[in-house]
Amino acid sequence: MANINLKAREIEVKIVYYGPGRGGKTTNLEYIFKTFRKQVTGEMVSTRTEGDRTLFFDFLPMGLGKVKGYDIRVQLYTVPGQVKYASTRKMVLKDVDGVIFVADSIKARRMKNMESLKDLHLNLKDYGISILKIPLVLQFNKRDLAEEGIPLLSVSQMELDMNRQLKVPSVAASAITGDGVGPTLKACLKLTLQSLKTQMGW
Amino acid sequence: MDLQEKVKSLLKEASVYDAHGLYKESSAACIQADEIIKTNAHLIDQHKKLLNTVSRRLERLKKKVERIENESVAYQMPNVVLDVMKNQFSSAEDPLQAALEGALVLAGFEQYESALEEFRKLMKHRSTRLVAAKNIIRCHLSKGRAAEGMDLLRHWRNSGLLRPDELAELRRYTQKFSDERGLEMELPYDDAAPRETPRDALHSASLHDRQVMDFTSVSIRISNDAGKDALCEFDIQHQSGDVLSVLVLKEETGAIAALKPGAVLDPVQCFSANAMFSGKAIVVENTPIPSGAHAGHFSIDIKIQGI
Repeated sequence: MANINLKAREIEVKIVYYGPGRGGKTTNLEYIFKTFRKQVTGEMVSTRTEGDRTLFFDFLPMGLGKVKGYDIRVQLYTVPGQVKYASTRKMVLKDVDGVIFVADSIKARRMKNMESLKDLHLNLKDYGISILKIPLVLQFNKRDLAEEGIPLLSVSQMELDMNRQLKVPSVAASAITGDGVGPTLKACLKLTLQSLKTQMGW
Repeated sequence: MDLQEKVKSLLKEASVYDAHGLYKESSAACIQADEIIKTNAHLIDQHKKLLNTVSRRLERLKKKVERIENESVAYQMPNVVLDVMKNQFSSAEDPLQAALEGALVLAGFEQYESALEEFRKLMKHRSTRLVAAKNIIRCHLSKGRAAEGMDLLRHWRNSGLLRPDELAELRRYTQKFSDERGLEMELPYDDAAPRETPRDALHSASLHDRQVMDFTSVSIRISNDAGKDALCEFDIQHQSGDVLSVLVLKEETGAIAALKPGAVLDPVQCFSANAMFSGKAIVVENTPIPSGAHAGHFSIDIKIQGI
């Protein structure tokens, strides 16, 4: 559940970008950091290796203004996608309020998407959270590569692979150009705030 | 698509995957192109030159994959990252508890040197000393510095910084930690382990690994002087995992007498911000407060055993 400070009338919401390695999670955050300057309340903190892979997490704080007199603060995190960082992924996922699953549209990454989604499901389960109940949005990233002739999974195939049971909002996107990045975040925030309202009895 | 075009397309694909850091996928595309060129050499212009290009590219990709696979995870992060780890991944309001959570998070992220600095500070406080000591040992062993860890065990034993039951618990922890990781080492002392006390029970569970709801108060049934049961509610001063510390005023003699270490509280009602839970608990510590605003009153720790 979100961190609620009744005295200071502040609510802190944690959104985690999850997905296979090199799928574009950090690129999503970088785009948000560059574009949503009004909402961003601090510097983006990244932990990258020399190979440009996320080692622990990326972190970006945002503010959404007031809802029912409460200051809504949002913390965006990414997890490291590489399989070997399983324990770090789980630590970053602790106390999560909403998840954006960044799937790679490249055909050759199909299995990686499904493995990562299963990993998310298991990690959430370990925290007593059902993947069917947490505010979750799927982002089908790298759609721009179609123009370069790269074999991509069709959106309908990705829906079938990942969203058949979940039935959550999905957004086709290109994090590198920014297409779909804002709508993905907005969709997740909407679901997360709805869930928060229910929890708060508003 | 003619073969020449197919090869060109595969090599372009390989370049894009390479640029995206997808080295294995890039290699796969190169290998596919390589096979097409080799089996159709007579149909492809400058096939030797192409094969050389592919071969060089495959070699570069192989090195990139090796570099990633052998990449060390033992990075020492800059302070800005350590601050996010310490501050954003701990939720306790009590500063000492927050410092402990922060240090545990640093160790969890394998930032052992920074975690050690924090745990050393926490050794100064009675309430966090044993957990800090355990984690100092954990950090040294994780860094492959067993000798340093053993020196510290000896030092703590000789300095009297830790009580005998705490030393025994620390030794058990170290033994378990080294056994789990297949480390061979001789622990420096082997005192007869004292009978398990409620305090031992408190620490033997990995409290800080578990997610426990935050409670604001507890309600306990206590017999009064007339032998009748009365429900007493206490505000929680501090919560560490499933151990709740409550303040009992010195005037409440009945409660102080009833809440002796080892006393089982069944049922106990725990109140969170928006719910009440009924469960079972055990008193693990009952100590007079020596100084500060509550000097003379009692701090009583109870461990929730089930809700």
